[in-house]
Amino acid sequence: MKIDADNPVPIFQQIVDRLTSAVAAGVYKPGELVPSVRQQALHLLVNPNTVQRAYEHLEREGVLVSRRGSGMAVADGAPELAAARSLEGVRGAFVQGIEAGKAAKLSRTTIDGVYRKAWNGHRQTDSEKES
Amino acid sequence: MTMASPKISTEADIQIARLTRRFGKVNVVDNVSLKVPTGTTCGFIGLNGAGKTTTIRMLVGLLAPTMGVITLAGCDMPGERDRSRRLIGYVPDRPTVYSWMTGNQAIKFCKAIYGGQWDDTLIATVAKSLRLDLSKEVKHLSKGSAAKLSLLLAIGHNPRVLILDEPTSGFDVLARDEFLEGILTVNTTAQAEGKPPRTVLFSSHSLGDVQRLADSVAILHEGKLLLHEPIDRLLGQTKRIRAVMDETPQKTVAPPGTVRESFVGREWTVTVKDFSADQVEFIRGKNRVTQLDVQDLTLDEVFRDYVRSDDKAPELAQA
Repeated sequence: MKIDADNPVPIFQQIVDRLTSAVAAGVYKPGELVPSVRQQALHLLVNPNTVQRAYEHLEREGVLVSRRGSGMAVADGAPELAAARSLEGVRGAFVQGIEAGKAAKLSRTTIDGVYRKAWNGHRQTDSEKES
Repeated sequence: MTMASPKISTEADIQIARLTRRFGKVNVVDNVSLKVPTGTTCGFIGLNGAGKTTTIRMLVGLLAPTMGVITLAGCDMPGERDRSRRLIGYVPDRPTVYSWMTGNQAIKFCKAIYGGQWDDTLIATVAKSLRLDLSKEVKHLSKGSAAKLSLLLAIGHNPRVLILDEPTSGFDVLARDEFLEGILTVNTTAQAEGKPPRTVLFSSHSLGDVQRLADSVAILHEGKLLLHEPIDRLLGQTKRIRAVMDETPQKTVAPPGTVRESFVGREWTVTVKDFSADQVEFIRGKNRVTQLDVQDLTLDEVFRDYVRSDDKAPELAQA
């Protein structure tokens, strides 16, 4: 997990987003403990209060559950929830792209084309990595 | 002189009310009021000469205010400066440690002053995270290492409040990371041991460090406090609205909450605080706008727009 301190997205939100994706991707599985607030703060070099608030937010969202005395664990059913949240994030990124395209007065067909090209380019780099 | 005043409540470990310091005819610090809630970290930012160091020197009792009230860790400053010494840690902008001492000797020297209050375990933990060689003489330490030693000496007595004046200026990236880790270790160690979390105020030109360490940001400009807000709220609610006008130049009507506006060609850029859809509607309703979009800002951009809010857009002035 990495934090970008020069990003308009507040660090609190970056931690929420990164952990949600990590749970969706199965990096942390239901029942497994996530790093403690202290470990996470020292690892990311960010204020422990910010990590604490991000964890509490994820607890309210149902992604994490508090385990008395031992910290925070991934909740049952969290991967599905996290996947849905990640999907929202992806959708948001696409909406931004579409808005940028509209601002540049591009047609829907052109924007669709840009998406397909980007997808093919991305898949190529993926397969290059694998080979 | 400090005015006789009623005691302010102590739920905020750092409290400043109407603080003013005059040098000659200039108010270098001008009517500043600021409360940093206990257990939180405040990033104190401003251009060179904004009055940050003067404010900090008054805060720790090294400089008497012309006017105003300061309560630090429950102590009235500068009156209760002696009592405050056991409760606060201070890292000045130019660390002053005897140059002939080694790091270890400097630590022993300070330990002798604080006696039983000195926390060897905390020193050992933080020294480890700072990766500091304590056997070296101070005169042979790099700028970063001297500042790290200064941090160690400021926290050995386990202070409730930590005040740092531009602690990482001039550091290389590695020294900076290690210093940040040191500060975070100081903070998280208190929490891990069930002690109340420390209250921290640090001034900095590195807005990346402020983003990482701070709960709230205070911007000082020409001696005045422009704002003090939780960092997430500031980033979430300050936006830049970019509007393309149908012709140039023309008179524009800026919405309520405008921090700064500027023109480049037909592009009108308005930075607003407390962003809401009403401000977008206002711009659309009162101006001849052909295109409009709303952008998020980095802390760096928010800071620039606030401190430049009073200069006129040059393109418009020339038109």
